Amino acid sequence: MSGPRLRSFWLFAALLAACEHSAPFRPGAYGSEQPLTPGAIARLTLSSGEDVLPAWLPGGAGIVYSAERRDRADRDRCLAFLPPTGGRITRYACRTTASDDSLNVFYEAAPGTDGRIAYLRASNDPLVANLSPDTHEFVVGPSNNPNDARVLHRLPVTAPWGRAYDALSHIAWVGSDRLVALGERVRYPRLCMFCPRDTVRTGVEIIMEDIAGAVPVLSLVEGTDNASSVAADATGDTIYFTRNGESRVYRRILSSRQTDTIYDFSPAGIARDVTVSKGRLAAVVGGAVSDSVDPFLGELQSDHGGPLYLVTSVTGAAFRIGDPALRFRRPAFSPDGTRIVVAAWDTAAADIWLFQQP
Amino acid sequence: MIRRYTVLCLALAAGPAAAQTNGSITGHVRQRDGGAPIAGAQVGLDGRWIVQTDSTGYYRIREARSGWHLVTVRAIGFETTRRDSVLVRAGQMSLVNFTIDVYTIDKPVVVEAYADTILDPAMVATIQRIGADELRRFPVTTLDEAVALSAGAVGESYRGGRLGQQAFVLDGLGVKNQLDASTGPLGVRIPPDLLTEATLATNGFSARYGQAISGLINVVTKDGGDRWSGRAAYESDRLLWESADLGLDRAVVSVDGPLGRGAGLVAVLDAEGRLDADPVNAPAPSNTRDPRHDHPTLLPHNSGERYDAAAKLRLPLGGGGAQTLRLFALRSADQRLLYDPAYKYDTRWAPARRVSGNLLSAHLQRATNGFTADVRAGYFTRQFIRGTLTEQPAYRFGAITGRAFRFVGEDVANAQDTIAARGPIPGLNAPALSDRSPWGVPAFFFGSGSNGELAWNSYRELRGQLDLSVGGPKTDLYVGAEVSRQRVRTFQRALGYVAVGGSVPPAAASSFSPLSAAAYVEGQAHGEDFVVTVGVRYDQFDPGSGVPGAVVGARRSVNPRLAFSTVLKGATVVASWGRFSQAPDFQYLVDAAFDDTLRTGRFRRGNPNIGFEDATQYEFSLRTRPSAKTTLRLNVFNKLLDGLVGSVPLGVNPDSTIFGNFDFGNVKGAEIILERVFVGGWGARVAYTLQQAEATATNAFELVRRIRIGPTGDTINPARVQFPLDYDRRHGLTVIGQGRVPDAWGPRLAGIQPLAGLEAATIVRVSSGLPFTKTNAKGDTLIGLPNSYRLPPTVTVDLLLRRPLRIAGWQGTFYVDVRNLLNRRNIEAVRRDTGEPTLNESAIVALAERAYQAHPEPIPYESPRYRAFADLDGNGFIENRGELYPLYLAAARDYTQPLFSFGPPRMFRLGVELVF
Repeated sequence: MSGPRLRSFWLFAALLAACEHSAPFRPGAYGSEQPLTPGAIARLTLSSGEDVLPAWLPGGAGIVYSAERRDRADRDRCLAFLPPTGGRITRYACRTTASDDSLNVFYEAAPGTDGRIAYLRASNDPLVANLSPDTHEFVVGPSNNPNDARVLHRLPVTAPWGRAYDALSHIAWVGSDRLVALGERVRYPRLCMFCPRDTVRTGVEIIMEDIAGAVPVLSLVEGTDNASSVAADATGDTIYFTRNGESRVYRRILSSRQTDTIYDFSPAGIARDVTVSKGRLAAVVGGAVSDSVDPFLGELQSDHGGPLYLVTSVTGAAFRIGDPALRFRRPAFSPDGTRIVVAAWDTAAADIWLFQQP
Repeated sequence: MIRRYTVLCLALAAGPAAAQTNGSITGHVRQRDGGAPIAGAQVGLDGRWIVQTDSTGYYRIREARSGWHLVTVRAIGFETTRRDSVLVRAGQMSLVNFTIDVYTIDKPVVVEAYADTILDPAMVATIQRIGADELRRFPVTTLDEAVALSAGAVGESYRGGRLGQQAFVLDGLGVKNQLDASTGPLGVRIPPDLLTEATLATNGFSARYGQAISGLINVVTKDGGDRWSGRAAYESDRLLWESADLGLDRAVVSVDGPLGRGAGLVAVLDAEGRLDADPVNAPAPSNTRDPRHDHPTLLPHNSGERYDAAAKLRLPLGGGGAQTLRLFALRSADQRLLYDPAYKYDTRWAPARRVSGNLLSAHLQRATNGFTADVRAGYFTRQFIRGTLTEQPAYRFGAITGRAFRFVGEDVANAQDTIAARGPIPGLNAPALSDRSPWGVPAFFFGSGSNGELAWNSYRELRGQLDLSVGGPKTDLYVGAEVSRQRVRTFQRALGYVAVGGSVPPAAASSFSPLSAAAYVEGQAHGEDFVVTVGVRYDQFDPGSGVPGAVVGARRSVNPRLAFSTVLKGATVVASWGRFSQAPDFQYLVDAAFDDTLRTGRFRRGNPNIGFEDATQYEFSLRTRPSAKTTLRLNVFNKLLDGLVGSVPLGVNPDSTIFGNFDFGNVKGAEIILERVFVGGWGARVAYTLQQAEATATNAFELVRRIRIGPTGDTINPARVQFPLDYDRRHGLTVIGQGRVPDAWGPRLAGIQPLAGLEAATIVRVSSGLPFTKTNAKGDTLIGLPNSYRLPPTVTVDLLLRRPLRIAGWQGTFYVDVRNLLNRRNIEAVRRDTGEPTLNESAIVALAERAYQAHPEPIPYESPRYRAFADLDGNGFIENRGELYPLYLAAARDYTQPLFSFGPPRMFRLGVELVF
């Protein structure tokens, strides 16, 4: 067969093939990128499950929080990703290698700027009557697939300096390969003889984790004993923290190892859950918090939330924001300092709220 | 008298029964004036002098390969005469008579040649044949589709048999997926362009062939021709509108020709992609929110692609052309995405499958007219995997990805690493109720992860085969033996996203090397007007020591076969009796876990001690020619099945069962085939089958409950009842018609005669319904006996129109192939609980209610499950029964859509073909 003839054939076939095939059906798109009632103060979640521990994705591109899945039989808590303005959850990150009957919790998410996310994950087998989780891990994984994570530590962890930490909280990135977190002691006291046990997590001190190497290196941030919360600024060299039973907010420069007090919420009460961005500071102060020393269990700071205070200048006054009927926990400033996302309780389960402060 | 003499000649000239690559050529050489026989004339085949005529002028060429041949006659003082294009068909005799004259220049030569498949009494097998030309003319695409046109065929089930009860013989070499032929494909496909012809033998097949008790598919492939020729074709449905565009693309390129010094080459590449590889004609849902409402035909995640590449090299080895070496290589790959209604909205997690196979064979033949020796060696591999894809395929052209699918955990399966598989298989996620359906509610549909299934197996076989045949004027003797060594490896893991333990069974793996052997002897004696064929075949197989629990060594089976045929008043009558056996699927030797809730239990214990499955068949055939252009065949048969594999309970626990040779049954029926040969521009064939196929179990996985424990603890011995087999189609009618418009016929429009040379072929199939079993709504109790209900009958009409095309000097055709022309909605399956494709309304309501009760929680605004249309009061919650329940009801209706209860819709193939 001659070349032109063959070319003619393939040209004909190519013309036939040039038509696009019809496409199969696709699932529809649902939901919105706006909250139900948009505004300067907006309730982002309405779920009857516990929505807690919100954090911002890098650049304020979205919000991640720990959501109780009431639509699952096991009521797992997953990381839920929201658009920055609220609206529909774009995706969940849940434990993917566990059967339906176990309770699996992803929480304390700390998104990094390089596409990684640090978080804690815990699992409980309902057939094992443990108060503490059966497995509890501090991990770092890719933000688009948090399950594919590197385990930094199994909790409880005993630090090289001999201290044991039952749990961690307030995880924050300080640089590309360093994390700070609040080392905690977890106790399960009874408020009365026949009362159910409560879980009280009390801060011990702030630790730092260097994850650059194959083996993560744990170190102590000196001078942070009795810390109850910690936040880092964008420079990665400064952390802010509070202490159990205190109203002050401390600042520590990591490179110079200097610590000073930058704000005192006295007499509003015990300050905790501090967050700082672009010269603005917010914290939960007072409210349903108590600090005590149990002769057997040691210091216990029991915290069920409180009023949210905003300080726009460390020399200025703090003013309370949000509905007085709500109890807040774990506010988080957006990287540009104009928005705060926070968990809040009324009489029911916690929801996520957004405050815009231009 | 003349007819009787002809028949006698046919009888004397007859070749072996069936299922082989060679036929024979016979005839008389006579002088033109007076018809005196010419003795001592030399008769040649394809340039090689083979045989001389006897004193009656009779000659016989015993071993002529299936295909077209040149026959030459020369005698001293007479014209040398050639007859080109003599068609020889495997297992049959072609009659070529010569009437020649003394050597002068102008006198004509008369040659009469035809192949008589009807009156040949040596044809004791019941065979139905399809040639390469018919495959091209009919609206069929694959060899399987072509064979399925045979009377008594229901898909790949023949005469009511179970799947896998057939064997495949390629150029004389047996090829069978002995691992899981009853549940899986062969793994290799013969591209139709490689075919010379294919036949289906359903009874009395030669003792040369075993491994089958239902049918034997014999395929003869082309040898390279005397000149280079080829074909390129592309077909698609892209030009058609939405519902007719099912995403088909197929390209075929084939070439064959001489390589010099008698060598020849054939090479074929056949590739096909379909965006919906298993289209259904299910009705569109009425709910406009269901995405299938607007796009009812094309299913997502249901694409498939297959590639078949084959090459064959023929090398003469000297010996005056008596020795020939043929080397054959075939590579097939078939990969499919599998639509799963549970993953309708998260198709990423739906399963996929890949099957690939390779076949390498060598065939050394030494053939003289009195003695033929064939030595064959074959190496066949097949690999199967089903599971979750590591990533969704990237389509490059239509449904063609051009890359092999990769599966999560494939490396673990390949390594058969049951230790590593005790933990979760990396990459597999636990499924969760989907939030992407239009209904949002957590019910029925899954996402986030797959079902965690990973199934893999590998089968290899090395086979050696020796066949000898010796022929005389009144007898033929065939002797041979074969030995094959198999290697079987399997791996299965269920719920692979979680660690083994509790309700999660451990991974199952096996590795063993069975050894099979066979020998046969068959003789055929030709009398005055009858032929007697007697053969016996010996088979044995040994699972080998790798199978745990094996206590029985090699299993043996001796199978005699006998046939008597004669000619009575213009009709050939054949009576045959034969015993057939086949080794069971090797999958039954090892434990099996499967996910089929329609059967009881999900686990069967493997039985390494099971033996052959047997059949004894009695058949009476009558073949005649009512006229010169028509033939009529009538077959009546009765087949007794015994030792079929079934599942037998070991206790009251349905999962405590074991495979065993416990099943027996009976298939009986009649076939009538009336054919009008294609002459004068048209031809037709009508085949009607009446049959009844029953056994004690409908398939190997169904429990054979011979003994049951009654409510009082006593044992109960039920009656030994038999039930219809799954492919027991009582009535089947297939009508094939074909016609051709003369080349210069028809009106002329704008200088073109659009109807000139137009070819048309249509296939009409009317079939009674297959049986099914009915259960109660819960599915745990049978209503009536197994397979005691029937599906409605099915009707399909297929049409192929082909018109010659000549553009820019090249020849070709343009064709339109339409399947299910009437777009009839054939029901191919029903729900066992309702006997209908659909669930009844009360059951749907109950499903919805259960789902609602399981998740009555409100759906908040931020949830991906929130659907604004369902939030009637606009408070940001879909809550309470008034808002939630309609979503659950819609989801239940959506989920229970009976998609795969319906056969394929009307499908088009628009093709252009170039012949060069």
